[in-house]
Amino acid sequence: MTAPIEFDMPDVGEGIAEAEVLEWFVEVGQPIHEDDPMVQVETDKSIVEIPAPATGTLLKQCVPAGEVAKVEELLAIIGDPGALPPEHAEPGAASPAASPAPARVGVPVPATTAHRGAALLVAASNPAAPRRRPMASPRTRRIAVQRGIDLSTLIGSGPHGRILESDLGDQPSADGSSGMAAGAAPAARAVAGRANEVVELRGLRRSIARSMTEALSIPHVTEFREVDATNLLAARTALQPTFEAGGVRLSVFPLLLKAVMRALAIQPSMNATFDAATATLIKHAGVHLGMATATDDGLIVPVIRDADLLDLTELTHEVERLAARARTRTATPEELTGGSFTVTNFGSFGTWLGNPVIRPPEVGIAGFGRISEKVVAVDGKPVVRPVLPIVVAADHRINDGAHLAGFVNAVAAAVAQPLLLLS
Amino acid sequence: MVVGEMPEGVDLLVVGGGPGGYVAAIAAAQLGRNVVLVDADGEDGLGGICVRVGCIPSKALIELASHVHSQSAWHGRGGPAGAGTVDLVKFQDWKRDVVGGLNGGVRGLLKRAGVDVRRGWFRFTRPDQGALVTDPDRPPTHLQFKSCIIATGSRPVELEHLPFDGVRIVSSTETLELSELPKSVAVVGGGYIGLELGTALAKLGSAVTIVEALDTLLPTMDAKIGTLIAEHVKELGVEVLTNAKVTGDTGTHLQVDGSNGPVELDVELVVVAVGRVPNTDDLGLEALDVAPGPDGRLRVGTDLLVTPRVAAIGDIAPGPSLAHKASAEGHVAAAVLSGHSELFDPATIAAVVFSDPEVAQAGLTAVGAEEAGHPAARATFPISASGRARTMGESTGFVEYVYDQSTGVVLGATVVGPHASELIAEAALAIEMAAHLDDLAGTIHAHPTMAEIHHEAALVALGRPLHIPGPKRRGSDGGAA
Repeated sequence: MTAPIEFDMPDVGEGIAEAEVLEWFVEVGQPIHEDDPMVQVETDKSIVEIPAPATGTLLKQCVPAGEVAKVEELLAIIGDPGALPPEHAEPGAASPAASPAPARVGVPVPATTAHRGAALLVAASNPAAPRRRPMASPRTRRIAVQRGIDLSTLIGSGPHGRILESDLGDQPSADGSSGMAAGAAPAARAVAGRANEVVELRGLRRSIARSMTEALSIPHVTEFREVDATNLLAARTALQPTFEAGGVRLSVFPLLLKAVMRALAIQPSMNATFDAATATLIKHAGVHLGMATATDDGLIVPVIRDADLLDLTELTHEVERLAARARTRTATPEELTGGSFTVTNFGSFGTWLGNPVIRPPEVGIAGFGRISEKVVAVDGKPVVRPVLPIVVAADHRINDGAHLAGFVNAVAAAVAQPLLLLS
Repeated sequence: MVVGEMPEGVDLLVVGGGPGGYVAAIAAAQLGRNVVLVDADGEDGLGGICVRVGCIPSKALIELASHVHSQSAWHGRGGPAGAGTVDLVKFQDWKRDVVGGLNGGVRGLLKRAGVDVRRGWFRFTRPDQGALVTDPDRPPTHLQFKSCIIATGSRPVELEHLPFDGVRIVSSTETLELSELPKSVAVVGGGYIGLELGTALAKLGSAVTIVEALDTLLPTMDAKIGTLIAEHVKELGVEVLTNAKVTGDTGTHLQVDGSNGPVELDVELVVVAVGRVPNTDDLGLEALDVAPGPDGRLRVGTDLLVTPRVAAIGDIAPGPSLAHKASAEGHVAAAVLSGHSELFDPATIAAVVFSDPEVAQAGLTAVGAEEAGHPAARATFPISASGRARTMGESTGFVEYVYDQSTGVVLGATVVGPHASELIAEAALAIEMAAHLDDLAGTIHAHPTMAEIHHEAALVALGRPLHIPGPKRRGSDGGAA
């Protein structure tokens, strides 16, 4: 019997620490060939198929569909069919010790909450099987009991996945009943046909929820501005024929990105990421522009890498390419991480302006509303002009109102004088 | 109940004054309950078996034995020659002072906590009521309780063919009361109690034979520990008979059916230490509509409740029969019965054996860890590599950590060696906190101390052993660097 191969969750992209298992293409006990698709996972922003690392029989799906696999966590075991634990024939009769010690594929660095998926798998398939203890100190466990929180449902944020007291948050009891049956509020009266739908957040939505909750810790300072867009529109009109000759439609958006990059060059503390835990700011050498993109599944922010090195044509192509990749959910994890500043264009929804939310660990975000004709005063006379609403939010820990105003001034100046963008 | 037997109302009743009961009483009082504690021996019973005839007296005896025994070794290292004989009468006087002091301390604590301590045997008569018999010739007092914690403990198991007579055939209790050292002793049972007593008596000068029915000493632990301990006690002159069953006693000779056929041991004293049986048979449990299991213990969950108003803790509840486990349960039972959400759900209950060398264990064994679904691995560091151990003239033993290979989280530890009983505390804390090997390796341990073995074992597990040879590296043989 050859030793089974343990396959760890691979690193599916820079900065991606975990992925949700969407679907196993191979059932336990089925044969599988090397490089055949084995499992589909969804990272924060993309869906990735992971191929089998070897030919053999799938002995174990270590992380069931719907659960989150951490990078380097044990994902699958592949080996001889003879090594199948007997539990597959008869639950509760497993003898894992009978098979030879598995060879480990991937980096044998301790994974974090490796036990969680496995524990839930065990619980689902065999209620009598042992459950590993959630990693938590006695104090944390005691508080969890008092609050009726099942620690096995949590993923710890502490080292090696340890559940910390702070992870318990103000979370109320899981089922609203534990230990408080007598004093609990009566169950809502159910009216036929009006049952509420309970939706467990998955994949992208869950990731957005987490990221936006994290963003709550950022003290936002926000500035609004309306800018005359006459020259901007004129510039686009002037450039359009050249672009169309190249088969590309030039929209205002790449010009706005150029304006933002000009402002970032003037105010480099906006082109940065902040680690609050260590109170360190990284000012990025290059501009990696996130562009908020609405998709059917939710907001995705592909990142234009080193956008400051691209000319307008290249930038336009990159915007088109990444937007398409985002909408089809085919962007690679590398294309979805590592941003240093984000631009959102809610004008396309008809929105005048909104309060954009900074995406941690970035420290700023610019939003552009819809360009619409307005009556403005020019030389003391009412004149109708196309007006672009601009909003920029900054992390007040890093930049103050004065810095922000400097940044917005630079954007506004570039919009008013688009020739600056071509420099 | 007849007229005139008006029950007395009790807010929270604790039955038993041992390490489970008295701790539960203090904890309940701290939670604002009015507590009555009943014990068959009243205030004299406070501290229970542990303080009076168990943990504490046995450790006093073991301490004396260690000092007596180590004298010859230290004489060889420049100490004065050991002289004189052991005076067990004097020892018993001192031991009584120690026990009396601790018992008095518990009395004082309960008094200060406002706990009402009473003497008597308690039996349940109704789900919320029981009779307290103080004097068999007088009618009992009826106590009606809101809450009750049963902590009645356990007593030594008596062998049918070897009944206790209190003189020749005795339990650990009488052994600890000896005022004269027996010349020859047979200890029946090679578990921790028998091993501790047998070792101590041997060090004091008795000729000791330990008779164990299974194939190793400390049969509930890893076999290599029992083997190591057996070798060491044999050096003390103790004879160890494993796979041996006692068949009877002639009054002068203990009859044993050993692996080499029947033998008769000519011994002055027979100490029977084959386990303990829970005190649940005379509690009137039928009034609660509950019955103990075949092992005599009451079935309780993590809330320790037997009925909504009655909890069971200590040796009468499932789990190891250990004082510190009973005390920990006492806290939980008091809180649960007072309406607080609490569970008895420790990651580990450390177990210690005051053998020579000492043995201590916490958390999961490697086998237990695998059974719990962990990819378990072990890392060992020998006591012989500890500088501090060498200065004590000790070199036997080891520390072994069990950890989850995939996460590096500490799951269990075994310490065999000097002060293992103290050393295990750090491992227990690490296990409760779900510490990583890095946490142990990253905690600077004072030098020279025995406690450094935790740090060293963690380094072994992390592949960076310090004071034991690691893998040979290039250049170490003088070759090209």
